[in-house]
Amino acid sequence: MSSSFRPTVLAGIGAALLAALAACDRPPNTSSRLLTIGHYDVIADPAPDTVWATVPPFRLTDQLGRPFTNAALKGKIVVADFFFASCPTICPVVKKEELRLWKKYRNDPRVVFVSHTIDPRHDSVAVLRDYAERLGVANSNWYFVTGIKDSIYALAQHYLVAVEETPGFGGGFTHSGAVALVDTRGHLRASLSAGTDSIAPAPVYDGTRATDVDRLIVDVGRLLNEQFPAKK
Amino acid sequence: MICPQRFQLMMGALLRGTLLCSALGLSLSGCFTSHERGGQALYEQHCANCHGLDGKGLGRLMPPLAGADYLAANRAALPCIVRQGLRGPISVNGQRYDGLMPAIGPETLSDADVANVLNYIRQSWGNRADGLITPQEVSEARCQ
Repeated sequence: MSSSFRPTVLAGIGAALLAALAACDRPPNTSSRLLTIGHYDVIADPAPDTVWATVPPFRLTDQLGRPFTNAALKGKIVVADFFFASCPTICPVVKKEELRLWKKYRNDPRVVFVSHTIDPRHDSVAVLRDYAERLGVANSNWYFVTGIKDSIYALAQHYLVAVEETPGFGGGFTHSGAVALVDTRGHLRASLSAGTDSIAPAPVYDGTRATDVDRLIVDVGRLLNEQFPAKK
Repeated sequence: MICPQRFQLMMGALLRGTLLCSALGLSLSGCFTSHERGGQALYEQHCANCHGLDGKGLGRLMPPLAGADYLAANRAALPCIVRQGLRGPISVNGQRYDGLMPAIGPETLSDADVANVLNYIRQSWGNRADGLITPQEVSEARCQ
C-alpha cells in the first residue's frame, strides 16, 4: 500500500500546484458533486463497480481521555489532519487556517474536526488537552487524538496525508499540511482545484494555503447539502 | 515606476529562481524569498509560521509580536531569544505562554539577518520601537 501511495500523492500535489497556477481568477466550480478519492477496489460481481475504501477501524483517545473510535465519526462529516504539539513548522499555520472553518461549524453537530498527533510519545492526553485549550477550541466538536502510532499512521494513509518520523529534522517528524474531508460513509471527498478540467484533483486540501482552505470551507457546505438534504 | 534595466534584472532573477526551483522541486514560497534578505522576507521565512504574517500569534499557543509589551520590556534579550530559542513560561500582554521556540543559529541567519528581522518586528503591525538593533549588538549579545 505504501509503495503505491507516495507517487499518487506526489502526482496529486504537482497537479494541484499546476492547477493553482493555471487558474488564479476563475471561480470554483460548485455545481457538481464532490469527487470521491483515495484507495479503492474494483469488483466484477454483481456488476463492475468501484468500491471506495472506508476509514479503517481505530481505537484512540481524545484530549479528555475518552475513547475515540470509528463510532465518533459515524454519520458525521469529518475534517481530519495530522500534526504534533511541538511542531515548529507548518502546524500552527494549518491550525490557524482550520480555525476559520471551525468558527463556521463549531456548533454544527453534523461536523467533527479531528487532529491526530503523529508524535504520541510526547503528545499525551494532558498535552493535547492543553493544546486544545490554548487554541481556544476545548469542549467542542474538535477532537485532538492520540494512541498507538501504527494505528494513527494507518489512518493517515487512508486520508492520503503523508507522515513520517524523521529524527533530527523539522521537530522530528515530516508531514504534509494536508486536511482531509470525509463524508458520512467514511469516503474521502474533494473538489477539483479552481478552474481546472483535469481529472486529477488535489489529493486533499493544503491547510497551509488560504486559497485551499477557502475551497474547503465551500466544499464542506456542498457536502452538507449533499448528505443532509433539506426535508421537503 | 521601476526602470527597465532594474525590471529586467528582477525578471531575470525571478526566472532563474523559477527554473532552479522547478529543477529541485522546491516549493514556490521557499524560492522567491531565498534571495531576498530583507527583514520582512526573513520574518516570513523563519517566524511567520508560528507568530503569523500579521504578528498576532495563535491563540494562547503562540505569543503575538504585534503590540507585545514583551518586546519593549526585553529589548536587550531579543538577539539571544532568536539565537537560543525560548523555553518555559513567559507573560505577554498579561497572558501566560508556555511553549517552545526553536533556536536559530548563525548557519541559518547571520548577525545582520537577526538585526534585520528584529527591526522588522519592532517596526511592524503598529509596533514603533525607538532605535535600530545593529548587527554588532547581535554579535556582542551576552547570551547565557
